[in-house]
Amino acid sequence: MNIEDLLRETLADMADDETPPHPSRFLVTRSVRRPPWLALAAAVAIVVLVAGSTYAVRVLTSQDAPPRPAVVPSPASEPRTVPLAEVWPDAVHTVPLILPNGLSFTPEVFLDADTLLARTGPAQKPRYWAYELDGFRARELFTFTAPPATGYTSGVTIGEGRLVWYTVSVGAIKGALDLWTVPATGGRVTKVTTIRQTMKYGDLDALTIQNGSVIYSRRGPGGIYQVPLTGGDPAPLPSSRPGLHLLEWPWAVIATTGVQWAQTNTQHIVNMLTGEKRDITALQGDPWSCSPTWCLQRHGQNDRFTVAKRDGTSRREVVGASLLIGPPTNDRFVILTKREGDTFRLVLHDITTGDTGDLGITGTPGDGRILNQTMLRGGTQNLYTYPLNGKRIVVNLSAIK
Amino acid sequence: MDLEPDFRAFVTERSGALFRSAYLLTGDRHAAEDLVQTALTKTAAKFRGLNDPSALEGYVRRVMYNEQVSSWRRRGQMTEVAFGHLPDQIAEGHADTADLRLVMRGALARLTAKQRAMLVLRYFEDLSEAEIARLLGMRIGTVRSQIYRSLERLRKIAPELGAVRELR
Repeated sequence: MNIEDLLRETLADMADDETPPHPSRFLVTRSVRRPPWLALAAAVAIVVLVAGSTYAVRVLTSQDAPPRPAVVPSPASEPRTVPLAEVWPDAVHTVPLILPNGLSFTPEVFLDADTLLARTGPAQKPRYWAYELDGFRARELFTFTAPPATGYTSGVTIGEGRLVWYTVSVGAIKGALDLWTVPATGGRVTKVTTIRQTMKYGDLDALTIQNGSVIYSRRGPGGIYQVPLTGGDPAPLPSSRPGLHLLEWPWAVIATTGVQWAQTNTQHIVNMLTGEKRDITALQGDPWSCSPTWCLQRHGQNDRFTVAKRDGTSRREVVGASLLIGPPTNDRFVILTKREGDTFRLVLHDITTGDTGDLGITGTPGDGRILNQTMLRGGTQNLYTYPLNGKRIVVNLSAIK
Repeated sequence: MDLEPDFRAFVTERSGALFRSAYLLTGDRHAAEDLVQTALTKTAAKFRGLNDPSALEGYVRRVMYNEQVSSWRRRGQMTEVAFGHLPDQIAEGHADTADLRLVMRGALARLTAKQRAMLVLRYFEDLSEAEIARLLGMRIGTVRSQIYRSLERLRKIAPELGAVRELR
């Protein structure tokens, strides 16, 4: 990691940490924190600016602000806080911060129910290990030498018995994104393809392995592409078009071209295989953040939010503020904060079952470090990890049935 | 064409993303809200002149960045904003990414608005130097040197960031 990678991660975390105000904040003329005389001046300025445009004046008047839906105070389900390992004993593992051979490591993905892919060493030449969690044994699977001038190496994705990741190198004129693969049992690393591009962290925002191909969406212009794992040139899927970003295969978000994944509106999605479109016409009010099936609606700074399916069914209130900025991960998981006086506890909540596991972490509002270490960001993810009391907790999200 | 619902829908759907960018630019929640409001107000005045509604977000963002950089120019001074607090010196060999991110937050708080804008455009919005130059009406060479100087200033403000290379 270099200072630019750290900067990118820090900016992304900072952006995620700060919950945006309700959109109605920007549909009124008067800022609540301005003194009255300044608000009046602002209103006058707006009239001057929009002279000849009645539309804009109307847009910026408070009468046009959409009504805030009343938050139903009850009944709200209060998730019972039980330690994570008690809720999902088969999925939660506590491991030392170093491998048995003394190397510090980064968990990448679960290779199977009890085996972790661990990465050690420098970014230019990392080593990958199969770390068996039931006996704490680590076996080296493969090593990888990044191409010259590599500035970024992605995390690893697993699927169909293969591991896939990518590197981004910067050339004198144009950079390259290289896709790599290796069998999940180890072996020789091979290059899937090279994509000429200029983005520092890669013009790729999500990828999955399906039917022997890597399927990914482009970060900048969007569009869903595929390339065989055996190698070849990427080609757009027949149903691809600019502005599409992978949400969870086969679902893609429909966004304006040039809007990146993290900035997309997840309400409008399309199935890349069938062409089926899903919307949230049954859900009104504050913006909803949606995975393929479920949607979350926050109510300002309140410590509760609404969960509902896209069709409006299974609607309920949940106690706890969601830290998640994106949609539910794996179409089911969110991290919640449960307030206890001036502090809060963090819990992992399964929307589909209501199960809730206490992470064992407490913090105070504004504690960015805790948030950074425990964030879920939506999409598909088989591993969730965070440090706790000198150990590392690793959760196999795929093992939670 | 009735544009008013389009604009309102745009604000409803996109104000969150705009706010996040504004927060990175200003480092202050209230200033970020004001910046988004200012950019939307200026854009609303010209919305009818935009032939391509899909270009709306790009226009708002352009206004936002230029407003932030020019407001700094107008003030003619370096501003420091409270992104967070610098933690205690990190003990050698014990730095992890979470510690360094906190250091980075503190260092970002001590950059000028223009320097922050350059880094946000390059490393958050992922724009190329040429795209940044077009957005801010600068020469590419100026953008390149500004980004370089901003990174150098981060290293100077927070020498701990030198530990970044040892991570992972």
